[in-house]
Amino acid sequence: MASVKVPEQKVILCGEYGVGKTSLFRRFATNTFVTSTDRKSTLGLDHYEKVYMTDEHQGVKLQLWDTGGMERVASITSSYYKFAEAAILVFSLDSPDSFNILSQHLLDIVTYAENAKIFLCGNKYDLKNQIHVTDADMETFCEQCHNLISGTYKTSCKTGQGVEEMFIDISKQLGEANRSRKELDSLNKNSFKITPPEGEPEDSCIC
Amino acid sequence: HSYFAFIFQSLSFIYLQVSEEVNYITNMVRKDVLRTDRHHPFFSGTDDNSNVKSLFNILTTYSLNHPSVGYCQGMSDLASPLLVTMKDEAQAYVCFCSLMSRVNSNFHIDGDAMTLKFQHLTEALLYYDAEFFSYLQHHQADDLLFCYRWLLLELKREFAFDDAQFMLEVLWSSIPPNPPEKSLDLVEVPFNPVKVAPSVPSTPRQNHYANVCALRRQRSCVSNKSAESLAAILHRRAASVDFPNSISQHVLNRTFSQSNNHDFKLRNSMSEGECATSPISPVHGIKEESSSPEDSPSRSVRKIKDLKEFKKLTSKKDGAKGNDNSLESTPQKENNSVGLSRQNGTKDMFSESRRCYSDSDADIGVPVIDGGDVDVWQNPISTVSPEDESQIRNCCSGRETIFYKCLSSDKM
Repeated sequence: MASVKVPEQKVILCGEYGVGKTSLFRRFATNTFVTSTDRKSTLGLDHYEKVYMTDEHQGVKLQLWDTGGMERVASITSSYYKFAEAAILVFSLDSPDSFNILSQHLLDIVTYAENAKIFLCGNKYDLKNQIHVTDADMETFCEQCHNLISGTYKTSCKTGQGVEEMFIDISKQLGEANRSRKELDSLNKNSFKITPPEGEPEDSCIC
Repeated sequence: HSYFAFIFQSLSFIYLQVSEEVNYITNMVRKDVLRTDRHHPFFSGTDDNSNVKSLFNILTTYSLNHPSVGYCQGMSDLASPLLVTMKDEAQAYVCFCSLMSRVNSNFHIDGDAMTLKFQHLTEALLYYDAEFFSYLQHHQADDLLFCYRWLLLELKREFAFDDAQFMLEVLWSSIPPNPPEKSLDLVEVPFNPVKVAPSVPSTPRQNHYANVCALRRQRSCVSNKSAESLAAILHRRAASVDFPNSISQHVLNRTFSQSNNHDFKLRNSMSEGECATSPISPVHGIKEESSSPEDSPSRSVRKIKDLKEFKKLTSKKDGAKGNDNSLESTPQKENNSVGLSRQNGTKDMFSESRRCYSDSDADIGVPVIDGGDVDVWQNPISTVSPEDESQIRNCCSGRETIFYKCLSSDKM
């Protein structure tokens, strides 16, 4: 079977305990949501791949990574971040604490995965009357981060609102970045071509 | 008057600090007890189930009175079967303290005990089933991270609750007894809500700088490797073109000074100690972080006189740490095509990017090799079949079994 090679993009989820990283992951993987009694804290690592078509011919394979509870094993932390093309900073819109701690996670990302594009995702958008993190707060955060944030989203894993849209947008941005990098690469390759200076080599080789 | 105001101020400061510590722990514990074994009738129902509260009390009490351990995810899973069995908060706490006296190192901040367990598991696997290990290597899963939960929770989550209780009883009773000499310590350092505890439990966050510094050291080695490989490639290229040295030198010059003609400078290398203590405030430090010299060896623009010098530079392994730290760099992030090409060089070396296996989460335990086809949420051993049962029995009775060895290797 003919298969088109689709570039694989590692996307990691970062954020505090209980903001819904695994719920996002589950929406991504199986488009399901489980009630609170069925949930368990994440211990370990999980990842799932899915192809998003950014246009008719070009697809991007998002490989979403979810982790939890392993902050205490340093070697794991670094391998989780390593080679990530994108990182989603997840916080809970009803919890200012989970929002305020993001700068720590951001610091982790820029140190461990310096090339990752960073996205901000406010989860639990369905809790309409308990939302304590405003759009202005999110904007301020992005400004403070010197525009390191490539996109902000508000999602609800419970209703599914905004989740698919977020992943589509992320895959588009990664697809574009990928394309421009390829162009740069080909430019680069051409720039390495060396044409021997005429006549000179033979002369200088004679000793 | 002002004296009292001062006292009041400092008291409120202390109060604030203590309550911060309590808040930090209770927040984590609360989130976990609300999602620990809620399927079981004992913990089911609404969130104000008194048994859930008991579990919360046990874990909070333990964490506040054992500052060297604190709270770490996974502890609720170990406490829950004890509470279900003892049906009494105080007795379950005693049992939990006893269990933790054996396994508390697994939850330590340094991660040494877990790292050692992984090492033992690797060695055991290499000895008992080298073929399987090479299969794992082939899929870049030889880090065995998918076993993290198995090792941390002594397989508790890999079985349905009732089976897990049975399995844990067999497992724990087969470990050689190691009773305390006098009485069991229920408290490491008594928690004092009035005074600031002398050793505030170090959280992963507080240990951040150490991690960052360790990582930098690690990375400067990696970047050296990539520089080395690049040197090798360029050398080969120069050799295959078979031009006089002047040209390969020209290539090198172009490679390292293409977009900018910054001279290659070596500052007196900054000691690592300085680097470790340099204050970086979280949000403010980001800019500095992303463009700081030691952070971006790949983006630095260098001009190297000849191949010899370049080789000399890149062949220094540990010694080059200082160099990497002190290279002049430009704060461009993406425009620097040279930087990009080098980064890609690094990527190529590792392009078979690491794979870890689905282990985490909730209801599952199926290794997912390539995503896609395997149902991630299927739990292979939620109910135990006869064959599985015999396997479990083997697992529990055979002293030579891999897991048994790893589980009982708590002593470093």
